[in-house]
Amino acid sequence: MTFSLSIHNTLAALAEAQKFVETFLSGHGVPFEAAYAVRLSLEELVSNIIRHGYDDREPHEIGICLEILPVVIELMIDDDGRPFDPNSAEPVPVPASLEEAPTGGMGLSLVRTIAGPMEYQRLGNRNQVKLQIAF
Amino acid sequence: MAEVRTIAATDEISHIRLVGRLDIEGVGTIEIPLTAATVARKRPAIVDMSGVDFLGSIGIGLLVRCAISLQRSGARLVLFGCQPLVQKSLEITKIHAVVPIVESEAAAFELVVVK
Repeated sequence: MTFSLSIHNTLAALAEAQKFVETFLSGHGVPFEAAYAVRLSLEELVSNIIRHGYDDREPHEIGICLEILPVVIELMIDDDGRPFDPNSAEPVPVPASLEEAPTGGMGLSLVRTIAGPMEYQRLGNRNQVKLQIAF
Repeated sequence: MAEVRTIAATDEISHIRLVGRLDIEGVGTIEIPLTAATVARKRPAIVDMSGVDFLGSIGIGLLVRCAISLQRSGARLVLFGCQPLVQKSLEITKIHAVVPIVESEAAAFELVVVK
């Protein structure tokens, strides 16, 4: 079962996409933990692209493709933003105090740990990130 | 969608229950009411997380900002009752090292109330 959609680079479009994805996953009986990992990956990866991926304020297309296979869900996200490998993000350090605790920049660590490794490639002018979420 | 419910707002404590998803959309809804119900009151705050079924990095950032602001007022913020994946997210981001996270309301109350 495959689901794909293309959204504009706005947080409102991401919120709408999450609703479609949720309907697709629940309609195919995907367990809560795997659905959570998909939702988290979309939230963190796509919001990162929207906030940091572009040098202009023009509309851009972000592609989202989900495929439910026998034991994994394959999630692929592609965009025409600046080249960025999400695996290059540093792990979150232990803060020495509450004042030093991070209030941002944690999303990719969350995805790596909860959803699993991300496979990145640059194809032409597009970034492509692929995850395989086991269930 | 997400929601902030005030369970108790006394001179001693702010007792808050969060419900729903702390994602981009949810945080947009609760940021102001949560700040008003905790930071603005300048009282120790215990936050019931049992109704939170999704916690993204934006939600973690909001909780940390509230905890930092409260600390600057001399009060503490304690989280309790996290669902397993929410608890895991707080541990991955090392927030549990600086914001107390306990299992029960009683344990949270114990941490913030001076006897």
